[in-house]
Amino acid sequence: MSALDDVKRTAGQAAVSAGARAEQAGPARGNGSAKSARPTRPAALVGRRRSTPAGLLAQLVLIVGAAFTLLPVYMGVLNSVKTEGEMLNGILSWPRHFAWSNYADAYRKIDFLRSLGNTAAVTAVGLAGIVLFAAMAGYKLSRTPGKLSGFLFGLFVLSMLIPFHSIMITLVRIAKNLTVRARPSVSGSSISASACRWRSFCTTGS
Amino acid sequence: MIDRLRLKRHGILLAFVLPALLFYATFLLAPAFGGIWYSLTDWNGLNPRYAFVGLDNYAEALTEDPSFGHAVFFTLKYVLFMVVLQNALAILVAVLIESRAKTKAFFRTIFFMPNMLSMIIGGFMWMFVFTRVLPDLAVRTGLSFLDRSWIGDPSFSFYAILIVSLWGGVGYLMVIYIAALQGVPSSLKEAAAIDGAGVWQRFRYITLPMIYPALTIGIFLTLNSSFKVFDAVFALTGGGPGRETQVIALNIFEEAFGFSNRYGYASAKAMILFLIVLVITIVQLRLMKRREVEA
Repeated sequence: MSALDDVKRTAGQAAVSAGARAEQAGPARGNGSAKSARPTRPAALVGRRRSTPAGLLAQLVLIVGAAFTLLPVYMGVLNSVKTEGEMLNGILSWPRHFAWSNYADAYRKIDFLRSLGNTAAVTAVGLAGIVLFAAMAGYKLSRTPGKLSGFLFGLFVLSMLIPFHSIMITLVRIAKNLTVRARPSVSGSSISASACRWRSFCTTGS
Repeated sequence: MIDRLRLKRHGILLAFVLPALLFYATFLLAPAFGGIWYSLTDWNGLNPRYAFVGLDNYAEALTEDPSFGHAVFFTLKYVLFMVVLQNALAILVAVLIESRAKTKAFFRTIFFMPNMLSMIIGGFMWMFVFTRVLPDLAVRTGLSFLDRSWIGDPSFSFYAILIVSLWGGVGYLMVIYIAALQGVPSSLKEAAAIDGAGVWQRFRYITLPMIYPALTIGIFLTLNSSFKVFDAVFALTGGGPGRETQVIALNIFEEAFGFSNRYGYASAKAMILFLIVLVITIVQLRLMKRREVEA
């Protein structure tokens, strides 16, 4: 409530700035005051957003941010089609001829099909487990009040805080005993974390 | 009668929760308890015989290990920068993206993209940028400040690590903040605008209090992931030069799988890390939940 008081206090002090960002219009929900005030609405609110300097500045910041985000990806892709010699000549320059053989080499060297198959298998099993078990647990936890339910939920939440490094050493041992690699740990922790998300999803959904 | 009903209800609850709990117990809880046990021993990971040493490992980590102390301080500094910068940038990007209806989907996709790459890959791509692209760029454009030894000099490699972590982390928080911003009723902002509130005032007194719950989550997630940061540092500097940029997770990793192979001692350090994360996140949640306002 204090926030609204603050708003009231600031009201009338400042003139509506010219750069006021136009809000996504639409009838105000459950509040007639905005509607009735429409005739006196400041011009800046209904004005076209493109023409405001603040809007252009926002666009500019976003473009710079996007360029920054894409920079390493662009550099990786660009230099992946250069030969070693051409890379030494210029990291930034456009390749004179495209050395697609780099991709063929990498494909052979890492035995791509096999590692892709492994990744797909891990993902499929993990995903199936998460979707089925986490949804089951999350749904029932959200529908059941009581101490036991709360305790189990707290237990699942705790899993998000356990650093991987405090379990990895024993995990290797357990994995050895089960004669699998350490991969299932990924599914184990994601299932518990997803159970929490499903619970909050079910709670807000109903 | 009542007891039978309750038993039945508990039974159904457990039937639903048990599969998830089983995975959780096997791959998380059991190793966690195992970690507590090993942290009290001098196990070296190979020798089947080991001795119980009580709290000696903890005492050594806290008092006699300068490398661990340095790692803790470096991690704390990193966490501080990350909590502030990552959340501020994510809110800024979210607000800007939400304000431009036409390009919303486009920018949202681009900023979220680093999340689809693994941090290790991202780290290596940035490594390439820092060691090869930026010096080249400096020569071409004459912007000499770009030509630094970003990886070799610890004062710069800290910023290199920050840049890479922000690059990888801002997108995810941005999505959370966008969702929160969409929940702010536009009627409130319109009413404030009519009352004469400017852009900043509307953000400070309406938007920010309204998205405070998202801020709680955002800071919680940043705290949680920053304390445990491993892959970005591992890919970029490997903790070097020396141990200058070593974070706690890397220190533990090196203790366990590096030269010394002291699994028991590494487990003790991991427990200390867990306690730090636990205490700080609980305090943060308590403090921030109290300040959340109702719409």
